[in-house]
Amino acid sequence: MPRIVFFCGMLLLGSGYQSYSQVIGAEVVDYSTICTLQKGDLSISTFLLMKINNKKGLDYADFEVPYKKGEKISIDQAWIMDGRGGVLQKLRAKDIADINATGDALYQDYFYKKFSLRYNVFPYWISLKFTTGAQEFLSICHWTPVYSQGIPVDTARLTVSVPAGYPLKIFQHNIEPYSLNRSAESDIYHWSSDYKKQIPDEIYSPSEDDLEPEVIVIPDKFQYGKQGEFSSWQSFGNWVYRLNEGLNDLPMSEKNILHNLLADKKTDVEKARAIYHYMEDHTRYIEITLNIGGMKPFPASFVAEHKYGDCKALSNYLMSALAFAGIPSYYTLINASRVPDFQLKNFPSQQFNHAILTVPLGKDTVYLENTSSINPFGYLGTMTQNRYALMVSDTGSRLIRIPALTPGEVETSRNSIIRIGDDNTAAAKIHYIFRGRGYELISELGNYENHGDQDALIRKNFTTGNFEVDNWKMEMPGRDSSFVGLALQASGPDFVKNFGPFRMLKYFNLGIPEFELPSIRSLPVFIPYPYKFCDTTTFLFRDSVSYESVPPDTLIESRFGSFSRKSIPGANSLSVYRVLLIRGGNYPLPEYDSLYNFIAACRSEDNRKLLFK
Amino acid sequence: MHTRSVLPLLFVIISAQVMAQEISHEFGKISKDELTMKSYNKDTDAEAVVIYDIGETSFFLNNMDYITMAFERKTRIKILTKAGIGYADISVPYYVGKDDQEIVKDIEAVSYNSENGSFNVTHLDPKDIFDQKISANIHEKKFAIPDVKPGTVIEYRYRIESPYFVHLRDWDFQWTIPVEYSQYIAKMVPFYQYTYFLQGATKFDSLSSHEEDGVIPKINTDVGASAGSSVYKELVHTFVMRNLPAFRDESFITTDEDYLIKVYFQLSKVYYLHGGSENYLTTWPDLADKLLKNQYFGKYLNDCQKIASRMTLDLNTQDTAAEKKIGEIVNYVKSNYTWNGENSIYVSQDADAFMKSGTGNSADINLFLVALLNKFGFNAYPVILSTRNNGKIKSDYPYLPFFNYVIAGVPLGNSQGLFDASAINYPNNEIPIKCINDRGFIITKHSDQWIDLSRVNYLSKVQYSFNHDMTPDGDNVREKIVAEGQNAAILREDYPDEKSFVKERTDSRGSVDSVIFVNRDVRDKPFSIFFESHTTPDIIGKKMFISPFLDEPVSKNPFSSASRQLPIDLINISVRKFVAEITIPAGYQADYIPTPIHVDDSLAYIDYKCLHQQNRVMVIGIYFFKRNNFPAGDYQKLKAYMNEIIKSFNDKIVISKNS
Repeated sequence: MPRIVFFCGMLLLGSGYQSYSQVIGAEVVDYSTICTLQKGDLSISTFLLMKINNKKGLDYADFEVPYKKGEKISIDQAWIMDGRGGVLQKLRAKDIADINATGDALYQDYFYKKFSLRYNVFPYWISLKFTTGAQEFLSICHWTPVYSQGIPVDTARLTVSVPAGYPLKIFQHNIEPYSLNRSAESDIYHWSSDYKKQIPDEIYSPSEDDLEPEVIVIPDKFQYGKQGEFSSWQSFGNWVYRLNEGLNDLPMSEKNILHNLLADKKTDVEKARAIYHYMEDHTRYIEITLNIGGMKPFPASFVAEHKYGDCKALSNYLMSALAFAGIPSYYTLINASRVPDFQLKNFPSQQFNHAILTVPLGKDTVYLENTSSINPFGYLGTMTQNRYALMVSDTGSRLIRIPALTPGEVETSRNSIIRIGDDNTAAAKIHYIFRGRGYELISELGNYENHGDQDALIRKNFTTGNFEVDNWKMEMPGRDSSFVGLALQASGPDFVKNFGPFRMLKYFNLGIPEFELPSIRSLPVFIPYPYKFCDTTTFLFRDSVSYESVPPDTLIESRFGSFSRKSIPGANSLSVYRVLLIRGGNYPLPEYDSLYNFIAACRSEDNRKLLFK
Repeated sequence: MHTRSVLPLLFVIISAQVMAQEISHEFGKISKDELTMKSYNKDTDAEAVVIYDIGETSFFLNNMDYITMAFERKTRIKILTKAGIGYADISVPYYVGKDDQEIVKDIEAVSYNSENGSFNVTHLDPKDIFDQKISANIHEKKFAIPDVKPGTVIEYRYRIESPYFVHLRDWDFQWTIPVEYSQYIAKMVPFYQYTYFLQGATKFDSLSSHEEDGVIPKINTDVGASAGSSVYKELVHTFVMRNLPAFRDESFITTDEDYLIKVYFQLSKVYYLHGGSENYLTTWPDLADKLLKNQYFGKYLNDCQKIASRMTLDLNTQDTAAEKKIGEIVNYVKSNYTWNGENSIYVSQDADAFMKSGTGNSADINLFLVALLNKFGFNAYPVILSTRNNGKIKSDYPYLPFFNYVIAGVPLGNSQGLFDASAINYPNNEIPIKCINDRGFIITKHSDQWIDLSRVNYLSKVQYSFNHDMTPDGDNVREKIVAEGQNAAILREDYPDEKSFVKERTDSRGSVDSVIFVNRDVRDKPFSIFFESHTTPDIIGKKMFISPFLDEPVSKNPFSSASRQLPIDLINISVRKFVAEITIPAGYQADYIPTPIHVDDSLAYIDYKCLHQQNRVMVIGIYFFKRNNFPAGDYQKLKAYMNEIIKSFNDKIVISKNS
């Protein structure tokens, strides 16, 4: 359950996300970016010509231009124009607000210039140009022609101008190759693109970065706090290593505490576990983004004294504490997200937003998430599983593969005993065991929310129809168990419905997601981790019943997963066992029909009802 | 560097013996009881408890010899669980004006931990205090108290020096965690007279007042100048509340701010040393007159009247009825001017700039609307109000900061029409939900007139009609939704176009097509949505279970709390009607037709019935709650009625093949 710090700052230029409209409220006519590297200074000028067609487009006339502390920024031109190019209004300096970026962080040295270019005669045009300048940078540009998901871009251009022969590394995808103009003074790269067809919002689709056209240009060598180079993951890791060098300054008082803590611990696993738990119990996550664009951790002494830090500071502190215990570990950069962004394995660059720790312990390697005070030792979870990460060391930095969560690690099990009254009321005892994402959510709810909010959320999310939670109890097992229990007692009228002589009841469903019809699906499917649900339900009837229709025993198997149901009807009881598995993975669009059919079949079976007298 | 000291616990125990019965409110004097407390016995679920929260406002001369207001606060909190650790992250907002600003100083924060027989004291390092610009005028001092975990006692204090003596800080006695002791001291100097009132409780646990000598040696302020010293009596008021429960949020209320126990202060009068005085808090008629002279209200309105008089506006309607004409005028403003999302009673620009940009806040738009209505002879006036999330008008005292919104009012016979041209999705003759709160004050010369907005209760209707065509492949349904009033506004906001509707409905139905919107943007007419969908009914054995109203009725009880403490505010009466026609296919017979229900009492009207003739079944259901506000005591009844609605309106018709 990581808390994420975004190292790279904000890439968003404008605000105003709204659903794409058949009547387009706004459209970008020209979206041009010019990155100029001259005498070591990087200047990025962005020019935007936007047409606001009607009132629906006005949200796009509000702007927030981000910049970091130490960067120069200027709003060079901000005009409202008519269709003939005549200037109707110019933005005044006093109408630009200079605001701190906020969010969850205690403090970040990111800011933005905020202003509005609204007008009331439609259509009108906005001509905006702004420039940022930096002396130290890790990338020259990270560019996409998509200005905002909601509006089209007619023409987008990127120009990168560097001194002649300046060594660059370029990554591009979903875009035509660049053209290059060389002169004695400079090398000028040009890209052209557009964004005319909106990327739709579809369930389990790959990340936007994977779908959008994109260009990344980075210097071969850079100065960012310290000098470094992107020639390999090893060299970039070495820069991170040197940036962190000297930050392992555990104070003596902390060493004394650790010394006492480890006195009776014999193995490295015991020691590492004890230190991890000590950190969890004595520190808290607080994000403060300062120093080298947020890349450099606060030293171990800071965490030891303040008892708080962000992912970098806490990872560095833990690494220092483990080192004190004689256990080597490695600061590891990773990109934390539910849907992993596509990763440029062969393009060493700053692609990360989070830090964890890699600890080789004998034959095993343990990965430690350090921003949660409740994580089991060695549990990473759904935000960081199944992706590459950069393990940092002096000379041996390399990409490592974080293991994928298995079905067993994400399984939710539910065991219900439902007592049906003659009057069709029901009283249920339901016991969940959550793993994976469910574990993370319930565990966070149990630890970080107050009792009132816990109660409200459980009542809201664990009721169906007239069924109501009467009481509940979370069962937190040992701190290193990656599962959590939730026992519910629930009851309600009309759980069973009478239809003439028959009575019908519906099983609790298994939460199978609904996918778009194949006829409208346009994107491939990416399911980041498996979904597994095991359900056992026993219905107890007051008197003996006769069954009109019991959902039949069923097994659906496919390469996408499986669904099974087995029922054991008795005179006064019915037990139903169901298991659903949806496998994680990438499913290309040609496979969508088959996937959809599998999901639809499972949903159909999941909706079957029991009919009895 | 922050400092940390480790003291033997013995020291604390000695102190605790003295304070075990009565917790000390002296900064830094922590008792063993506080350190060892595992849970709060008055609320064992509490994640933290405020042991004391003490504030004091006083006046002093700053180094420029100006009278300045000082607000000092000290707070001690016991952290009990991980969920309570967030109370150690502190934000102190302060105001920064164009020429002057508040100053936050003397910030101190300490954490106290008792561990393994040691008493650890950790101080906040001043360099760990950050200053953040939230907006042009609001900044915050932010800091995280170090070394905090479950079991920690935290304590912090700070001082704010403010030139804005108009704004004597209000005091929240109640928090979202229990409060053991809360005290606010207001040291009133004779130059400024404030009034106060208490919200959420009928009286203070303790209220005392006494006089103290105060000396201001030299006065060089806007209250007057004096060469010599002035001796005066300070009137010291002390307000105390004890053992306050945690405020827990509930649904169906306006805003927490309306229910928290707190005391508000308002500057009512300024006395000048050289004689004379100025009333800040006078009468409602004076307030109305002041507002009418204000550059950002009355002057703007006057300028708009001039602009409006020059405007030529052809109203489409030939109808001479006032309501129709007004509707056209409101519609004109809605169509040609855009709300920027900001609520205010003051305009953000001059009238010419608003005409040019066409975009403005609620005051920019609705004061212009007032002017335009007057051009057509409607005797319109501004009505100022407080939106729901801004809370209720707190007292009978004339005090403008209570208000944050302005609409237009027009006398219509014996009633008053209320109009808001910024609410583009609402019918022209309705104000939006956010404005239906407490009461509005009519701004006319010498006005003392109010409008009870809580009685504004637009009838909001929505009707769902279904025509089921049962086939062996499933149920093809032609559906029509016709929404009026608030229900239409909600649909208009949710569905900017047919495409968004298809996407949302396809998620819940098998397939949706042939969507036609009628009057999506004609806000004075009902918004109709026609569409077709295909669903597969439950087939169990030989029986087919048909949902007459598909998934349109409510299926989850919104009254989900086990109990209720606060009144229930439903805002509007919303009538929901469902009509379904089902033709039973040839060769099938009806095995089960839902049983009717009928409820008609002081709380609700519920009527559900099925008419079955030959192969046709018509199902009609209608329900609404009869008031928009209910006392908490009605909660269980409302909940039970909603359960009944869920049961009936989601009932099914069962058909099977003729044997």
